[in-house]
Amino acid sequence: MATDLELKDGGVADNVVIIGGNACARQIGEKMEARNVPVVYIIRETAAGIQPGANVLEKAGVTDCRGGVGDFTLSVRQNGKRFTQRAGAVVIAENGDLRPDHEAYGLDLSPRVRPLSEIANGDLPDTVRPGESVAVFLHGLARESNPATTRTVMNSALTLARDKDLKTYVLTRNLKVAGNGLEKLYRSAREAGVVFVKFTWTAPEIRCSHQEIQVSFTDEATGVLFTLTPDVAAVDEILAPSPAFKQIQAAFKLRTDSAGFLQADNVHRFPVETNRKGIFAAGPARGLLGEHAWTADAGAAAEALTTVLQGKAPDSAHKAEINRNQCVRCLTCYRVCTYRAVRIDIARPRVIPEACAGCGVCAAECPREAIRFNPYEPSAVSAGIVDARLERSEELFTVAFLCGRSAVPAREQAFRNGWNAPPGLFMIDVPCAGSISVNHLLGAFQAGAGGVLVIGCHPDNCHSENGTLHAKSRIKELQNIFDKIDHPRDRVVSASLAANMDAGFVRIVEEFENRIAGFGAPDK
Amino acid sequence: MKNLAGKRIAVIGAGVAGLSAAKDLARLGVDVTLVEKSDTLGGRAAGYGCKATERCVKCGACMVVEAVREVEASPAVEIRLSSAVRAVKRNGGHLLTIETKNDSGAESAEERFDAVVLATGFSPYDPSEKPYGYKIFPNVVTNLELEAMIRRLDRVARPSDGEAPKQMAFIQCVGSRDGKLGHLWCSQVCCGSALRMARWVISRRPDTEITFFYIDVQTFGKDFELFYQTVRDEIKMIRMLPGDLYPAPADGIKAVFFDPESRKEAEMVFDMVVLSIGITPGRENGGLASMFGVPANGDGFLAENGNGTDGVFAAGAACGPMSIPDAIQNANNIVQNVVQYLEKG
Amino acid sequence: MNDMNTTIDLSALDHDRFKSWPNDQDYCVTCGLCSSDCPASGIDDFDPRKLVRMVGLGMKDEIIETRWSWVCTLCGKCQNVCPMGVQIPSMVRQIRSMRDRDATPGILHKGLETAIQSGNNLGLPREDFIFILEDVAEEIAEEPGFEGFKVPIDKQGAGLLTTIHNKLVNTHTEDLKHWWKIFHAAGEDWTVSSINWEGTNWGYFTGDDERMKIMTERIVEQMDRLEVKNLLWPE
Ligand SMILES: Cc1cc2nc3c(=O)[nH]c(=O)nc-3n(C[C@H](O)[C@H](O)[C@H](O)COP(=O)(O)OP(=O)(O)OC[C@H]3O[C@@H](n4cnc5c(N)ncnc54)[C@H](O)[C@@H]3O)c2cc1C
Ligand code: SF4
Ligand code: SF4
Ligand code: SF4
Ligand code: SF4
Ligand code: SF4
Ligand code: SF4
Repeated sequence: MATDLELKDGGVADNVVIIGGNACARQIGEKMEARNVPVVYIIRETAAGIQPGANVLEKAGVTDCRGGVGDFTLSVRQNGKRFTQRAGAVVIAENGDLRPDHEAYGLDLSPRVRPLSEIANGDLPDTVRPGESVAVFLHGLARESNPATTRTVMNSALTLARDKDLKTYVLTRNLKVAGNGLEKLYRSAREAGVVFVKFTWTAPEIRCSHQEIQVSFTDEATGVLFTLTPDVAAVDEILAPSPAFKQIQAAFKLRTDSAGFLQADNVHRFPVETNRKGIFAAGPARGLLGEHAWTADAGAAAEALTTVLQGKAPDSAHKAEINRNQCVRCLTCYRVCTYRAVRIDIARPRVIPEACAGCGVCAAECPREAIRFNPYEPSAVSAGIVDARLERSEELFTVAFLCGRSAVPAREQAFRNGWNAPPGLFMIDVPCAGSISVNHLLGAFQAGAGGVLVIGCHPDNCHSENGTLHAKSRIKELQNIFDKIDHPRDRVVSASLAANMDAGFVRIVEEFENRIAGFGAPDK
Repeated sequence: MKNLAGKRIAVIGAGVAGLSAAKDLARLGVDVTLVEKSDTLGGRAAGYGCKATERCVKCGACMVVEAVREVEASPAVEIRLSSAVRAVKRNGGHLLTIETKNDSGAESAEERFDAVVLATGFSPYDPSEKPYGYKIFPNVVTNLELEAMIRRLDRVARPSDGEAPKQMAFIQCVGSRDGKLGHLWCSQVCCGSALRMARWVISRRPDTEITFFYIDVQTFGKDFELFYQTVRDEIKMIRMLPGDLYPAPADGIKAVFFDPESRKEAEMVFDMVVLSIGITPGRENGGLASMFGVPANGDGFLAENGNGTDGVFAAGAACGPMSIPDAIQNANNIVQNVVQYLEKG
Repeated sequence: MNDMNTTIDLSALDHDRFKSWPNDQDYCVTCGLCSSDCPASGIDDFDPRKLVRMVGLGMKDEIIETRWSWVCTLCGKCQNVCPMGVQIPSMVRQIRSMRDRDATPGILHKGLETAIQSGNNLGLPREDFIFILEDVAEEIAEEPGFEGFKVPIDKQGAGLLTTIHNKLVNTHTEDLKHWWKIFHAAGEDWTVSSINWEGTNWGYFTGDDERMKIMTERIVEQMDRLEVKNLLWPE
């Protein structure tokens, strides 16, 4: 099948591999197929629900993924067989696990105590009698809930109260109405007779025996002590990464969030990016709940896939390159590359240009200085600093290394606001603070700098994840050297910023200049 | 991709939604004209500060700068600042009369587009009618004004004397969750905005005492549970909205409220009170809806898919309360729909 | 409800009991604005949010039993600030009307009975009333600028009829002077009726709609009798 996409130059695979077979995965597949892009689904279970005729590898999993955008090679295992599958781009929309949270309430699941989704599907115990029985939703009591779950709770409670004529209670802490239409749903549920009880400084006591569940609590608004003996209790389910997530994470070498979902909690990945170019995470794979959110994510993923397959996603201007003669195969570069752009070919590391985001971290970390990262080679940068020193007559000369994603835009805005840079300050724009090596720093001091400032992104906001941390550890390294030679360690300073902190940028530079002025010009 | 080269799209509004739509369409090779009423790019969120404390708290505000920079650098996006659409004609495509203000007045031109994306955003609620003395007491400010302080000054200053407040209060849900105003919705972003700002203030000045008056705290961000725990240690959380605010000595503000735990009337004096005003439909939504033939819902927000079949789409907070990440996701999804529409045509 | 320690089976309450009341108690989101703004909050454990909640839950016995509905002054501040438009004063009046008439607080009940019989809550005879008014008028006339001041009782065809709160002829005669001086200064053509002059309407106050109507109609009758077009009813 020929695709309608005009492939990126050099791209060899024009297809999309989708990991997962849920509604989110299917919507992405349908959108791509409508564009005549070949789609391959790789699904852990069976292909139920996928449109007939689709190319599906069922009961299959990916164990490894090599290459870059337009040319990924996936190792697939299916029924004990192993084979490879090419992919132009990959999207992971694997399901998480919905786990009932009954243990948090000290309850066991039973015909009376049911996971929320079962109640939402109308699955009630036989003992429930319309017009008589009592239903209780235990919602967001053990941990904070979220609007998607609250939507399910309110819809189900409304149905029970209105259609089944049950006495229906929702016990919660903060009611999460931050979703479209939820405040109205909240009102409709109350009008239908659902009673909401909200807890702040108290919590309900839940006791359970063979015969009954008893919930007792103080209604905080009235101070009245109430009890409820529900015929059915629905407990929240929480979305957790499924066991398959670990395997996918390892196969694709993805960065996860703190819970283990397949997208780092970093705003630069919004909405569907991962740390690997051409590999996306959508819907439940990145921790999103609810069909509504999945639909928007599916659209965003289809959009991203289309862009990337055509090679139209923005690319970095500079790429790292390994000098094989200098390399001692320590594999530091392989470990530090967030974007997984270093590939090991027969025990030799190589940078895949399509995957390289040009952060320069590997070059700064390589113990052998075996990685060229033009034009940010320490020698070239140091030469620039020497020239800058010669151009300046100020007694105090200072150097600032500025991350191109945060400090540079902040400085540009500061200029537009009318800021004047201190005349003795020389600023060097770098793609990522992590690209600054000890050699860069030493070069600045050797050129006569009285102080050096390094500004990177805030932790968790760094596009290359650890750039600022790398920079900080190199500064520590240098400070240890300074301590040994009795040079003031605070002549080198690190700071973090976001791109919208023009005022913060001005403050940081001022504080830095004042501090260095306090030390005076360095000895020649 | 099918014949997208040479297609022309007008994106109306250059907030984060419009910028995201423009940059995504431009990446796909579509010619985009970005029509923005004001004289800057970025919309409301361009005025928000960074609330990172020891680490980024994912407010998303810096993403706006990133989007502005990509759009400014993109040759496929033509930016029209100080411009607005005055008339629309349907004639095969969409014939828009775009008026641009300049030093000598304004000039308009008629231009043809294959599709239109309305990303005109929201209007913040005006709290003057609430009993909180807004614009009467100098140190009662809105959350938007506090955001702007963080952005422009990199610190918080009382309007009356420029000093850092020691006792601050946030009052939530001002103009949201308000059936009387016809605002039967939660604005979705103000709990997050307020709590992030509160923690930022404390991180800068640990001796600041902050009180937070609220109905329900809304979840935001992936690590909300952890964040919320810290918040409850650092901030006095009172689940009750104060009734009236009164002037107190030294330009202070006295809040009178019913203390829910002791069940007694209580009062507290603050140096500064922040009103968490919410998101309401853009003032021009009605006019835009009729000019472009896009349905608006009962609340006054535009229908998300615009009138889809006719090539007019809507995205971002023009369609309802939405955070920055949501607006980006929404714009991405809308671009997908626009592309499908163009592929058909 | 003073004993809050008894435990109630919540599901045994009829939450629909007051659904027919048009006070929108179901719209309450427990924001607490009403309780924060209410001048009576905290008195006798009362606060309007609690009352709204109890009505919403259908706690009939409890709300009738407590004094809360009588603590409320019906000032309407709560309703004014309530973002959901819950009509609390009207709810309070409905609660009051549910009490047996004999169980309404003594003074209100007695006052209303007296008013129905005598035309005012104090049971003050017509002659005594006229005497008090003329006495107050004489005191005013002694003040500079008010020489010759007279109180125009039962003046046919006056421009304005004013009612009088019983406490103004009882304990607060000073307040009468303020009103009258204003009328005088404004050159108002005013009058006051010698019968059925009572301005408070404890029928309204106790939620007794029938008696409220009687009291109101009596005032209108006086307007007709004296052929006055405008009414000032300051309560
Ligand atoms: C107090 C407050 C705090 C917030 N804090 C956060 C936060 O911390 N994190 C977060 O994620 N979200 C936050 N938000 C939400 C955030 O502001 C929105 O998500 C975001 O601004 C939506 O972007 P938008 O592009 O849809 O609309 P807008 O930002 O409103 O942009 C709309 C643009 O369209 C232009 N425009 C309007 N009408 C026309 C017209 N007729 N012709 C041409 N141009 C027009 C406007 O000038 C504007 O530039 C906050 C909101 C508020 C009110
Ligand atoms: S870090 Fe340097 S020496 Fe080590 S493997 Fe990479 S290129 Fe070779
Ligand atoms: S420059 Fe950055 S992205 Fe490129 S290979 Fe090195 S570490 Fe990886
Ligand atoms: S997302 Fe917000 S908190 Fe994080 S760095 Fe950007 S502006 Fe700062
Ligand atoms: S986000 Fe919070 S403050 Fe804003 S309307 Fe919702 S509940 Fe109120
Ligand atoms: S009407 Fe009653 S409940 Fe409402 S504010 Fe006045 S005193 Fe309080
Ligand atoms: S102000 Fe209205 S919504 Fe808020 S607690 Fe009172 S009655 Fe309920």
